[in-house]
Amino acid sequence: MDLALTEEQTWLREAVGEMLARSAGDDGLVPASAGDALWRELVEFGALEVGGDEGLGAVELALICWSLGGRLAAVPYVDSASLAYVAPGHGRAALGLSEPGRSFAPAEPSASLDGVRITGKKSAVAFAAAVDGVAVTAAGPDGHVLVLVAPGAGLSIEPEPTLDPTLQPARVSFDAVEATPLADGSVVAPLAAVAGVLAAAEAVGAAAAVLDLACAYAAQRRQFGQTIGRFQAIRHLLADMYVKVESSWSSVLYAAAALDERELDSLRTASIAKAYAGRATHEVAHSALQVFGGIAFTAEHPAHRFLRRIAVRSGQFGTPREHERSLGRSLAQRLEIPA
Amino acid sequence: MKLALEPEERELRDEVREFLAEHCPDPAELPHDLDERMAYLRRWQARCYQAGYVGRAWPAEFGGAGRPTVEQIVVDQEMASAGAPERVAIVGLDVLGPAILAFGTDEQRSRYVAPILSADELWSQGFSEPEAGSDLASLRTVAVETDDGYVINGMKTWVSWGQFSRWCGVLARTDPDVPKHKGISLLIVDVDSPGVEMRPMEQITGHAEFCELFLDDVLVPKENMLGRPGQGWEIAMHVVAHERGTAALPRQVTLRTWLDRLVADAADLQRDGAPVLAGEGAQAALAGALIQIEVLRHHATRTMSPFLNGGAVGPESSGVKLLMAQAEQTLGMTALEVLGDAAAGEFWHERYLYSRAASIYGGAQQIQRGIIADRVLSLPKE
Repeated sequence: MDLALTEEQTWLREAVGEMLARSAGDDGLVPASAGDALWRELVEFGALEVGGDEGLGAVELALICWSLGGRLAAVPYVDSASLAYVAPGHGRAALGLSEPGRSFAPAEPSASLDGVRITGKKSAVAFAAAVDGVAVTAAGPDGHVLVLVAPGAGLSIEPEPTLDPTLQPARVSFDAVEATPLADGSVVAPLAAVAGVLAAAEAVGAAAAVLDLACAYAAQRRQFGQTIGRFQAIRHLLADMYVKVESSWSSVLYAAAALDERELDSLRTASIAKAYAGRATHEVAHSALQVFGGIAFTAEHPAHRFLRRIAVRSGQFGTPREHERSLGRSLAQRLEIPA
Repeated sequence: MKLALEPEERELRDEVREFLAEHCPDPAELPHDLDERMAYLRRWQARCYQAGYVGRAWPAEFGGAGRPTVEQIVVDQEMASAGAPERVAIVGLDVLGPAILAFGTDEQRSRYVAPILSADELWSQGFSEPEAGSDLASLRTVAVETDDGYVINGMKTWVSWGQFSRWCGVLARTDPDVPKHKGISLLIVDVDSPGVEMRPMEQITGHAEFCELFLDDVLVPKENMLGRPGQGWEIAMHVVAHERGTAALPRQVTLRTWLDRLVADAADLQRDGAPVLAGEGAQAALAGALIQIEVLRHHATRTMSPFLNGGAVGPESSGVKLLMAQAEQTLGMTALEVLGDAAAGEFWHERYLYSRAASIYGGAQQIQRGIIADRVLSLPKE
């Protein structure tokens, strides 16, 4: 019953923090141009070495995602780390768990696998064009499977409209494309759960950073002859943002630890964390814009970049509404509902 | 970082479960009459104390069991999960007892601590006043030092369980010439002293849980000063911040059992010819309450971790307090929404009404936000 970081975890967070600080520009954010170099550093550092006695667990992966979010780094780490958590050894990867025009239901894919060839469409595949493989759920003759498709295998990648272009989401279409089986369908739920937790971790990191910026701004911006941070309306807004950021982070860490410890209800806890952190971080981003006022609506101000990242990560791998609906359904169904 | 209980903690949990299976009173057994109910609850706490489940982490030399803090949390969560009655000496256990342990003399610890644990003596706190609510430090009750002791005059309000208490921890101004926070002392008042009058007040729930307290030339011996003269504010803030954190985990478990009850209560209800629970609106409302309650557990666990590892809980506990109120109020509101007024019945009416106090007692929501703004975010002062 202890959620304090261990010494190793604290060291990990600091080491990744220093790595990101070196990659960051004057604005404290990692520019898109530094993405490839940062990725190589992360791999060298061992950020994808998951499992076993020495390897990383979901808590450590979440700490790394939190740091990446704070600097708005644009690297395919959430997807790659999630895949590594359930099927290690595939390097830079993207997850194809969503399908166009459908609610998030990774366990019920419409993509189909015929022998070793997959046919179907996936949407919101982040960094699809920049990775070494896309991990995709598909319905096979013997149940659902998770397969890996190499970008050279003939799949078609069309960029999708998005609030956050730095994540490069795309629609990926497969027409009898060759695929390598990775695991049976039993990994799909844990994969979606860890992906949701890590996407939430990145959103919380971004929310924590934009809260810091908003606090600094409130302490310096003057109106009506005083700093706006003295006004109760602003102070209480910032206090509420703080509670949302910190409670979201607690929930993400708890869910990650529950996955690592294979707690009985770890999938449900992951869903709760994703639903809560998704909504809360999104609200924090909105409130930050409110604290900054008009300046936040200029393209050069960083606030909109945080908002964009948080909005997309919050909706990824199941929107808060989708998670709430499934949580509500299973609560209600715990008891026999008379027809 | 480890969520699972250690083997020793698991053993304790199983032991408490067994104890509760055998001894936990059926809620229906609780007498309705308030006096009888209090007597019943005192016996229940005494029994739990004998079993080693009260004051588990308090020092053994003063009547506690001297065990690690986490064990008390394990016990409290099991108790809450079984729906066991609350500890009747709650104010002593959560506020004044910890204050005496942290700031009292050895004589005071030897005198007052063990009877709190056994529920032989109940405590109340005389902090708020009619004109000093959120602005507690502006309190007007005065204690004047004389050769015989301190003479207290003033009026207190929201004195929880005052009518049943043996002792009251009273905040009073002992020095009017220093800044308001610095001139306050904490005095241990014998409620049976001449000049003390406790008047129960009926709450919106229909119960008279708290009293107004009138202090008219009440003489308090000098040795009943807790800490130094002028240290009262520091002591009160210390124990209240601590309580905000520690109360959340067992409370969370209680809220969880209530949510399960809500689902059960809704199971047989029909609306427009269909089961209420099949409706998407009801499901969404229940999910919202579930999420609030579970996140309270996550956040309270993380906030309490430094304390379990030997450190202290600071102003971050205000965040836990805000979430606790939110979870409790969301659940109360969800019950009304899902069940409707009539089906909610007495149980949920009371939960709902009581939940409205959650953002007021122990420092109003607005005070907690101010603490966070000042002491966590270090914003410029208002």
